[in-house]
Amino acid sequence: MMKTTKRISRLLSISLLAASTLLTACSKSGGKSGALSGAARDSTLVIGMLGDADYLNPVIGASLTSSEITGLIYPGLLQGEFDTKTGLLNYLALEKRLRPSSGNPDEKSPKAALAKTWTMSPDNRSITYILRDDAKWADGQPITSRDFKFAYKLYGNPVIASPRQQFLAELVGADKGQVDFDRAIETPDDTTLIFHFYKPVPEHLALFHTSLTPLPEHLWKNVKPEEFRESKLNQQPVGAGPYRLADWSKQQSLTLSSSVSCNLPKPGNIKRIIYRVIPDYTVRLAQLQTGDVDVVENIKPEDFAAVQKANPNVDIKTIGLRVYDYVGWQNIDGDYYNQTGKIRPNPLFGDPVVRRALTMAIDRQSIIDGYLGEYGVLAKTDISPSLKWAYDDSIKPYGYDPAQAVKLLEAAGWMPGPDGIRQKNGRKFSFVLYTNAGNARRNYACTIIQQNLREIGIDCKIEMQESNVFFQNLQERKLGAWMAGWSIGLEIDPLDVWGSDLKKSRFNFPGFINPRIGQLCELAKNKMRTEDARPYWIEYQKILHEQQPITFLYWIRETQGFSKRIQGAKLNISGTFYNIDDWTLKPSIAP
Amino acid sequence: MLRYIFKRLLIAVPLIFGVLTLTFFIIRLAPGDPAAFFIQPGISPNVAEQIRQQYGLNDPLPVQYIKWLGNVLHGDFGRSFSRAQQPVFDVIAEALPVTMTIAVLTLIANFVFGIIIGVISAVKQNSFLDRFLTVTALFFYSMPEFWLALMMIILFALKWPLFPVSGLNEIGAESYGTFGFIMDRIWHLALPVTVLSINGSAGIARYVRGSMLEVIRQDYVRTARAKGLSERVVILKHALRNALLPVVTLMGSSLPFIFSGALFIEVIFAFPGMGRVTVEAIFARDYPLIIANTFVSGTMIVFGNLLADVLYAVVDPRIKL
Repeated sequence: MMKTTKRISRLLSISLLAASTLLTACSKSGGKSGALSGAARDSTLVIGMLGDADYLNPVIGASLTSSEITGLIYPGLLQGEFDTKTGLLNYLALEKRLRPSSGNPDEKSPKAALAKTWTMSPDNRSITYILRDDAKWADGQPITSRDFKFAYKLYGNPVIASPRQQFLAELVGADKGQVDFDRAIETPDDTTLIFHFYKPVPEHLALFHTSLTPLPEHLWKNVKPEEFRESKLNQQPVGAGPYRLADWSKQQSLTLSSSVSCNLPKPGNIKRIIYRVIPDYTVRLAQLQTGDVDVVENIKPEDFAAVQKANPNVDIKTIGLRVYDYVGWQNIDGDYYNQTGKIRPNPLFGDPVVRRALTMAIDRQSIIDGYLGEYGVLAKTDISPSLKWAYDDSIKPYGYDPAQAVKLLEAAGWMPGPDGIRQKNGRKFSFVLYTNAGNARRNYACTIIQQNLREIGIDCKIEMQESNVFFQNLQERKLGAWMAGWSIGLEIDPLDVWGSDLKKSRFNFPGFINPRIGQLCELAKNKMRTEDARPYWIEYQKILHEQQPITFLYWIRETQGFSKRIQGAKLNISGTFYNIDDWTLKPSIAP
Repeated sequence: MLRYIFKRLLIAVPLIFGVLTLTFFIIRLAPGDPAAFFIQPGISPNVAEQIRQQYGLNDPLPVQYIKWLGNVLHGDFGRSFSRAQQPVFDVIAEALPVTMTIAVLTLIANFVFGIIIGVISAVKQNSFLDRFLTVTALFFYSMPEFWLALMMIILFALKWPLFPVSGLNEIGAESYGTFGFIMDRIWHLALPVTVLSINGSAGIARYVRGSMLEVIRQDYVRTARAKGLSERVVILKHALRNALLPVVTLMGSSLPFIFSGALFIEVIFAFPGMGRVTVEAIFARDYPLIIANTFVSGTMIVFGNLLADVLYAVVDPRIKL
């Protein structure tokens, strides 16, 4: 007994001691804010991130964060540029551009490109690059055409499972299931790189698909494909870009330092960039307010006022329009399709007239006004207004018109039932609207939609599902109606989303069947100049507008919080960190 | 007693193993796909299939189980799906010390404050101070920890910026020297540990109060008073010692609770600890990591309970193991 009490009292005194040190420590260091002082802070940019990068390797890096960071560490064959005036993508080599300059305000310097120039063969079946001869990896070894061929073999290796293997889809042999690298990619000398395709490929697509990032062959050649993902080299990338990896504490922070030897095009302006992992949104926001973090992406519009009031040094910058939300209607009878593989219209949403009525019944503008404000734009189809070359301005969006919606519904046979809910042949117009949990914007929109539909006699319940579960149910066509969103690619290629072959078009969740869409995609793809496909995309937008396979809600301007000390940031649809190597930091006023 | 401990440890092996087997099947039966990230437009449909192949998810479930069993018996819990193929024990080795630090600090704070508040309430039973402490303790006890954490951040990091909002250390803390680094770490831990221990110590205070009230009415306390001992000695030496008996056992069993509490705290304060690892692993359907985490927390709970039982026997000679 004596012994144990002694132990307890010792424990007590130790803990008291610990508690008191804790308290004094707090009072001592309290009030201190921002540990980096003066000069160090002025040469360091801190970016708050939701999650950590996965692989700093262009072949297997999958998350957006990884691609952004890899893009700063590794060199590129070409320099990509998004022309905000036309909405077209442009590719630049040192001495050649795909399209002439259009006075695009976001023009990039081509100096970062490894290619001097390129030539497309007259039959569009091969492209030849001439590389610059003065480019070096960070370890001093020259960058040669062999590094590209080596990397492409890795991109195409099924054991490595690169998420970018789609880029190899036109190379010789790809039509037979396996790219024949010896015939598809030639490297006659260190600065000549030739790609051969099995079919004629438009120049812009050839450039897009052949400009995957190279890897230094001399470092990677002894890594076995099955050990590729586990290789230590993934943690110590050797690139040639404006930055190199200085430090990486997993799940905490990742530090890049400006690469002094870089000549592609030059060492990054800001000496250090720290990516800090802060999983919780509220906390990321707080860090932006206190000035500990300089950039936080995707700030919710409802938080702008509070952030700017707390810290007038924060600016909200927008990019877009690339992301939209929609309400999906199952066009086909999903259960019947899953059981038999046959198509028959959905009893509720199978009729385009009903879908149009639903769109008219939903007050999309008030969702935008209530939540997104000036950061939302009514969506008509999935061609973004930012892709000006393809966007159809002449389509008039369906306005909020419940009276007209009622008329359409009654014309389609949906009459009010005794309980106020519409019915047809004994079937009530009643369904569950599913969405993923944890998205405040969709939550808000769902509630308004539920009210809107109730007003015209449609019963809609809302159910939130965990994201993984929701996505799986969507793929298995188990949901009749749902709210989700898409982020569009900058090259228009909607076959995956709207193709009528439901087995191939994996993302046609609503089961929209219209063979003309597939034809239009094919016709557009065969045009050698992107702009020439405009008439097809105009027809495509008309079809989507009339058929309303889903109700397009709104495009979202992504809103990024920026500290005002960042200067020279040009954001556009191709990314928040589009020209981060050119940013500078305004020095703080010396004390 | 050693025999007893040995027996308990022996029973723990099949117990933990059963838990792992259950987890193995439950997570695989749950909807969601570890390769779901690779199912998106612009990524070849082959990729998800290749990734599943790499993870060995294409085998029938029994085959997967036998392979997994073989690996686990060799001490290999595999590599994480979602964390760039890091061996899962590397992930845990990075995360566990963070959580342990929080847990130990919280445990200490819980008991210190819990006992102090409990004793005061009991000694001053039914006084204003007792009522005040009781109401306050219940108030905090019934408050969700994540909410309390966010409120603390708003108050003590934004309104009055006394503490940092998140992270384990300030950026560039490496340059402070060892002492400065540790101080910086403690400064960062102050808010989260406070949040966790406010809740915990409120609970313990109730226990201590109850147990203390019972002891104070015992004959030997009256005897002590009658002997003319000072009130301080009576309370701290004669009463508290005995009142602490049931409380000590709480120490072992509160460990798992502190661990689960750390779950929210780590996500909110951006600490790369076990809680965050678990939450993220579940959302990413990272099977090997989920199982390894279950293994660690399962072991922790079993040992926590064992510790509670052993402590009980140690402090109370009436109990024989």
